[in-house]
Amino acid sequence: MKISDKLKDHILDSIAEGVMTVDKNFRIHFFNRAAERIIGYKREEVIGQFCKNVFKSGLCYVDCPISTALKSRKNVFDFEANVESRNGKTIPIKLNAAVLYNDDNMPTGGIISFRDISELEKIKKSIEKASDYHGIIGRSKKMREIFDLIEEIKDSDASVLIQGESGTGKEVIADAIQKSSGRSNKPYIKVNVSVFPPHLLASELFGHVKGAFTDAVRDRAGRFELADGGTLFLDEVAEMPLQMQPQLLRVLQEGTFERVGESVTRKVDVRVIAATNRNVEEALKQGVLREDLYYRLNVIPITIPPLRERPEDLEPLVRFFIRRFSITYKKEITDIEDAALDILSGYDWPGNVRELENAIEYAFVRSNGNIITARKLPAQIREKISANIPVSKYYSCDDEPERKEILDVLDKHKWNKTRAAQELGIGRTTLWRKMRKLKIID
Amino acid sequence: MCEMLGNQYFLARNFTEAEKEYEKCLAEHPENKLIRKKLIICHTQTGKFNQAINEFLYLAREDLDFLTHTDIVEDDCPCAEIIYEIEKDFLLNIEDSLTFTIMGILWAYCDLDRAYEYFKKSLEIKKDEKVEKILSLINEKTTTPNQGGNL
Repeated sequence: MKISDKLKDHILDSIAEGVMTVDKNFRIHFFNRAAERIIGYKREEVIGQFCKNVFKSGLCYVDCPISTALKSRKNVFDFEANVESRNGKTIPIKLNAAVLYNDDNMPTGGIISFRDISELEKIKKSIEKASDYHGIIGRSKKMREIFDLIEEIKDSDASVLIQGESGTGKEVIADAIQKSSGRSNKPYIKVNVSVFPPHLLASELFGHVKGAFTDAVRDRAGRFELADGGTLFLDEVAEMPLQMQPQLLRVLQEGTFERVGESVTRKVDVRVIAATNRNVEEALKQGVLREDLYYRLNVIPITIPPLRERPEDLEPLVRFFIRRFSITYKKEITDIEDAALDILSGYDWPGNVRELENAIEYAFVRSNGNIITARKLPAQIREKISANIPVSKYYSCDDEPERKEILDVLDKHKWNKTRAAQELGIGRTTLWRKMRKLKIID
Repeated sequence: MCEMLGNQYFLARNFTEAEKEYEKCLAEHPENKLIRKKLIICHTQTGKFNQAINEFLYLAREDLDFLTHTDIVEDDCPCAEIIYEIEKDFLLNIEDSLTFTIMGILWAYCDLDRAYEYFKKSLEIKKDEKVEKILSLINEKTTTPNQGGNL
């Protein structure tokens, strides 16, 4: 069914994203209603104008996204930029860009779709402000050591290998490393190695030339080329097929590679941050990960402890997530009841911070009042924690003086752990841990 | 692809890269006057002055009106900015014929009278066949009707 031009315009005018097309001289020839709303110009005022004079972004002179798409022969996705509105206000946007081709495969213009991310930026800034380090919560000694290490290496381009169980925050640590590095304003590309079938991974990382394989209809730059001058985050690096690992090793050592199907050697300057949740020693023993690659990646090793090994971070994390979700969901939930916190403190968190975040979000969505109660927590977490029944508050034995002191204070405060912890001068989660260790509770 | 990429570089005032793309395009499409018109400006900025003069003369012979009718704002012509920078650098004390010739080329895009003055000054310092030819083309033009052009 052929769609008329008028209908196409109606469709484009109905969407929330701004859409603009330019001809090959970069003069605007289409500007939808959403673009008018975001930028503040009516379409009649911009049609025929050079796009750089309408958007007034520094990007136009340095890193035009349509030009990037033209050179790389690859669409640009989720590119963040600042543009200037009609009234001179700076608007942060996220855009996608593509080149328009005619039937002879010659470029005839470009298209940019974009959305105003001012609100999102406000949320990000608010969350970052509330965090301990670049959006990460960590008051435990182990996390503090990681933050110190990131500060120490910020002037270095050495490879980093981040290890940790699933859900511990390897990607956020990688983000923090990139943000504090000298390449923070350069391209930052992320690849999860495990999502690509082996026969496509090489093309994804190193690119390919037209005709290299059945679906290779045009030349395509790989992630290493897109990250040139910047940083590449390789998540789940130990899942990389063994036969591809020498290629990765070569790029790390020499900065050179060839696109699939091509013999031209290309050179890039990329800082690599890698991550894995595999046990690396096991992977090396099984021969799944090459030793030479491991040593090349592991110049700076970072191991993130599982959440259960840093209980003092649990309550700050819970409060951080509550604050974040209150902004995202625009709900006035600002606190969590002691019983809920007790349950969360007693759980092992096999899924680590990600599982905790999901649990808080679940409770958040279900809650109606301004406080998260134990009843609203996920059932599988509540059920795994046995009832908080003290073994006996009159238990008499020759146990440590500490046990007696804790019992006395709990008794004094009618088992209100918040007040007891305050009197003892320790955190609630630390109190909880001591109570379990000293067999005050199961 | 080279024309569109060249256009983006030109708009971004990256004359070195624009020149590379436009040269590629012109090799494939020597009839494209618009590319040639922009390429002249690129040559003046990359130091390829003889090429700038040659291309200018070529285009002036072919279609002087196309060359000289440029709306600085509408066409985003960089000539005004470039002229300002040159005059600032030289503090208006230009003494060599080549600089006068280049200034003449740049002025020609929007003000033929000013261009004429600069070409004349160039000839006063040093005789040059090409500059003489340019002047003669301008003289011919001033006795014929104007036509539109763009950048």
